[in-house]
Amino acid sequence: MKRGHIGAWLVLVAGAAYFLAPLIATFEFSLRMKRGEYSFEAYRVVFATSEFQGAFLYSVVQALATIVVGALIVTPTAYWVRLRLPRLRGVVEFITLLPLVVPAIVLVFGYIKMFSSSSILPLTSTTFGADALLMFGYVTLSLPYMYRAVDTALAAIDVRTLTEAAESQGAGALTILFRIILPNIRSGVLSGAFVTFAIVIGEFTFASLLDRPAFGPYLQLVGANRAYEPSALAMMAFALTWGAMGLMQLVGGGPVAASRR
Amino acid sequence: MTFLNLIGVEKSFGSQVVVQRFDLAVERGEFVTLLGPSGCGKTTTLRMIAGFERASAGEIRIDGRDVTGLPANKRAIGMVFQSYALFPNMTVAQNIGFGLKVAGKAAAVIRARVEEMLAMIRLPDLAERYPYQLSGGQQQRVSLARALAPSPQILLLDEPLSALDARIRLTLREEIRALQQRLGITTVFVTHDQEEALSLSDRIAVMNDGALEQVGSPGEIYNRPRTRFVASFVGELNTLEAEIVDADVGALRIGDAEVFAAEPIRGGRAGERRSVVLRPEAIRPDERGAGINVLSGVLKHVTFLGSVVRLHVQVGAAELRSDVFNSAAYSPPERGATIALGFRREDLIVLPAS
Repeated sequence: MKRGHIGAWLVLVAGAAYFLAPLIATFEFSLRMKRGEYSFEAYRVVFATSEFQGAFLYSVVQALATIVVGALIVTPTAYWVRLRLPRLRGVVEFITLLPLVVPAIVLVFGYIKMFSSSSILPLTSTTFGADALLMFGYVTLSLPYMYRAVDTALAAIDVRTLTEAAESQGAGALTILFRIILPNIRSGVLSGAFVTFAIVIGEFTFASLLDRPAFGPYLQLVGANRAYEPSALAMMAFALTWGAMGLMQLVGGGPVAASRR
Repeated sequence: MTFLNLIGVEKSFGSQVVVQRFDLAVERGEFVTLLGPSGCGKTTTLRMIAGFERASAGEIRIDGRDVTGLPANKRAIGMVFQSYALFPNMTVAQNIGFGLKVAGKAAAVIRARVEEMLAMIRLPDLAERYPYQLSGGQQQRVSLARALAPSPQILLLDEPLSALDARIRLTLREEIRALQQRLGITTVFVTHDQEEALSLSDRIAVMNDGALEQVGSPGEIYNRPRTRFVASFVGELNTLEAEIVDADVGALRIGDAEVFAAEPIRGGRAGERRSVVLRPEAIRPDERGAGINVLSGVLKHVTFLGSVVRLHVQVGAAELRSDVFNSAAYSPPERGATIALGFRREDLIVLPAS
């Protein structure tokens, strides 16, 4: 084996160890709840608690709502900017990047100030209002990822010609968007959806300050009071994220992706 | 009867005028080609007919109805694009049936029409294929079937053959013409390829710099170009500088030789210099006789082009090309030989004063 190859392998092993060692250690610790033997007792305990089920279900519903609302806002916007307002692309991209620049804590304080019980739109006064506010907060947080994923997918198809071809067939704007554009950028929308799902499932700041029973605050609570269960939860959250990423790879298939190969 | 009428149509992008005062009347069932170089405004004109661009001024009428402000999806127009523009997420059958589905036709009607269209484009077995599984020629055939499936009022073809290789281009060209004639559909075709335009069209509208230069049958455009641009853009030609001797009888002087045009020279006066043009195939070596103009020159070299042999002859300061049909019996003169070049009066085109 050449010396260069050995060096490359060493770097690879060191890099893998850097990522895998804490993961393996956490996993190993999560199995040690029963004294003297390895078991999935910590996982069983976590699954059995009603708080876990409630928080997880709440966050999953929030994530799905965020994905639907985010996709409905971002897809037509990105499509319209590419089709009719290409000069505004820079401005729109800048706006979509703002959630990366403005800290979540600042955003949520702004929301509380704007939508408190004394405001014109007192969303924080009702459970549904607070849930909706959290969901819109998540839409904002995931905007940079969702927009980029959709915009990249749009760049891979000839938006203008496909739109005109559909128009010449008598199709209106909604038909074009839902029957032509959306199916052809499905992989982009789904990629954005999975990133959004991963963000929402683990998000803490928004949910905690809006006092919503989400998975993020639950993770923090368990982490502060238990020993083995937080490790089990961390592994589960990790598996969810990787599962979402794996699905992102899978949805890249189909006739549309094949046409680009 | 005029079916498609463009009346004083103009298009500007900001201060840039892309199409200027364009008038064109297309008869029902006619095949008209917009021919011109890149950037001459032909595609913009087609896009205005389709409704993809709004005309800055003027009026577009289809079957007597003003459609200038009508959106593209309400114009009942079939369009074929250079890049095929098939919907990648749909099969061939779904692509062809898309317009009918949008129009709310019953599934059985759509199925029957799709089968009819597939048979028409001779791809009956490819209904379930996706566009990426087809060749370029097949994709363009499907695109044509999709455009025709909803029975549009007008078929618009935007350089549909440009992305195809030469052999497929030729075949598809003939198929498009045959289909158009069979269906009798009014068609506007855009191309920069003069051969396509000449072989396909009932009439050709030659465009340059956003303006219409000449409209006429392929024969008129080729044989009687009215402007210097049309003469130079359509077909090959020899240009010579001449001096008018007598405008009324069409007499001109080229070097020492006196030649005659078939008609009086419009607006010409004795002593005025004019450009005259001759097609290479109109010049016949060693042809003389009544009504034949003759120029004398020295053979510089000979180019073999398959069915045609091209002689390059120096006549004064100009080099003339003369095309002779090739045959086994034909042997061109020796290089350096002095030869006489004959051409009929009808073939001498006197261009207007620039």
